[in-house]
Parts: sequence; structure tokens; C-alpha cells
Amino acid sequence: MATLEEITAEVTAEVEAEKPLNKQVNNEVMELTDEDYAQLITDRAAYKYNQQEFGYIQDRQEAYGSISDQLDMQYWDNVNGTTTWKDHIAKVKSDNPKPE
Amino acid sequence: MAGSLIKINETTVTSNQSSVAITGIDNSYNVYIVKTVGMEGTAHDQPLRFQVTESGTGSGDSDYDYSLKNLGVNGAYDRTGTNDTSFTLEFTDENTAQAQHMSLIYCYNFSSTTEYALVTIEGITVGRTQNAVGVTGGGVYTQTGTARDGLSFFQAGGGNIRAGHITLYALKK
Repeated sequence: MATLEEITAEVTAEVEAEKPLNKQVNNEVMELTDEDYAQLITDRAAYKYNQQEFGYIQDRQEAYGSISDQLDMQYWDNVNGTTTWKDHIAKVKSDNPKPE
Repeated sequence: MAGSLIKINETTVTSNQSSVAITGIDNSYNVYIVKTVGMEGTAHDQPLRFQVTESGTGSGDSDYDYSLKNLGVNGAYDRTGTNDTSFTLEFTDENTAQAQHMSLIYCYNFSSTTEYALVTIEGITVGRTQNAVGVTGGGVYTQTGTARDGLSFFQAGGGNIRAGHITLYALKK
């Protein structure tokens, strides 16, 4: 797992390669100031670090599906003696692993 | 009530911008509304986010707390953040170049220098894998001392905003 410092270094190189970058304030377009570039790097690195650490939670939430669909799976598992719901949850977890 | 919505400012994005800000909030009114229509990003799977602006510049300090419920056709899920560097909206783009985000963001206490700035959010992203994801919730910006004068939008993990129309309205007192 990359540290925040390592991600910041990656993002700094990424932003350097993307220069020049513009911002629009109301209808005026201008290049980012040095302060803006520094803030952009901080924001982007913080976001990527958070995604690395906690992104799996959101990914799992989206992949689990609706509660009603899960209840339906559980009902039919009970009726038919199958393990559809358990298999589905296990697959979502393995597809979106928690970072070690 | 007729005549209670007053247009303050508007801006249209027609080329790639790392951020797009709209300003014009002051102490003339109590509540302002920022309407975003057709917001598109260039990077896949990166969320549209926004910061409050102070003198036209987005504040990136770690003073954003928010809680949103995203209502997708495949289920609902949460987006929360504490001491984050911006507020979040839904992803603008997920493996399709056609995803767009639209929202109404209500802004409270922005001109105050002593009270927290509050936002409530209602929006929708269309064109994702799930086709439509509704967003509802709100947040608080916990830094005081400087009046906030608008909002600045950007894609958090990289990419630019390539299209969109943003309008700032005030609610008449």
C-alpha cells in the first residue's frame, strides 16, 4: 500500500505532466496559480489515498444490490435450499477486498 | 411565490477546466441556490466534488463534513465524509463518455464570518452503468472567519470538467 507521501509524489508528477491547467471563475478562464497547483496536488492526493484505504466500502455497497433483491435471494435460498445470497455476498467481498 | 428567485450569476463550460467556480454570494440574501446542469468530466469513474470559495478561490482545508444518500437503480448507498477537503457529489462518469450530473445546491450562512456554512444537495447523475443515480443529503463547512462567496467544482481524482452550465440564484428575503 502506498503512503500518502508516495501518492503525493505520484500526483505531483501527474500534475506536472498535465500543465498548463486552467480554471474558470465565472466566465473568466485563467491558468492555475502556483498556490492553485499546490492545492490541486493536495486535494487529488488526499482523495486517492482515501480511495486506496476506504474505496472498497463504497464499491461493496454498490455491488451488494438493493435490500429487496437480497431478501428475495434469501427467500428462494430458504425455499430451494440454495446458497445464492451467501455466494453473492462472498463474491462481492472477494471482488472488492479490504486493503491489508 | 412569483418573483422570489433572483438570478445572480451564470457560467458555461465549453472547454476543459480543472475547476469551475461561480461566485456572487454576499449578505444581500439569506439563502442562495446553485443549479448545475449537464456537468461532464473527462476522467472515468472520478467523482464530481465542490468546495466553497473565499474571494473566488476554492478552499481546500479539511473542514468539510457531509452525508449523502445515493439512490441507484441497483440499490441505495451512502457517501459520508468528515474533515474532508471538499463536498462530494455522485460520480460523473463511469465507463461511458455520456454521463452527466445535475443538481440543486442550497447554500446557507455563506456570508457569515462567525457561523458554519451549510449546504443541502439534491441531484442526479445519468448515463452511468446504473443509468440513473439520485443524490440527496447535505454538508457543513466548519471553518469560520472568512465569508464564503460561491462554489468551485472539480473532478477529485484527476481529469477536467469539460461541459456544464452553472447558475447562481438567490431566494428573496
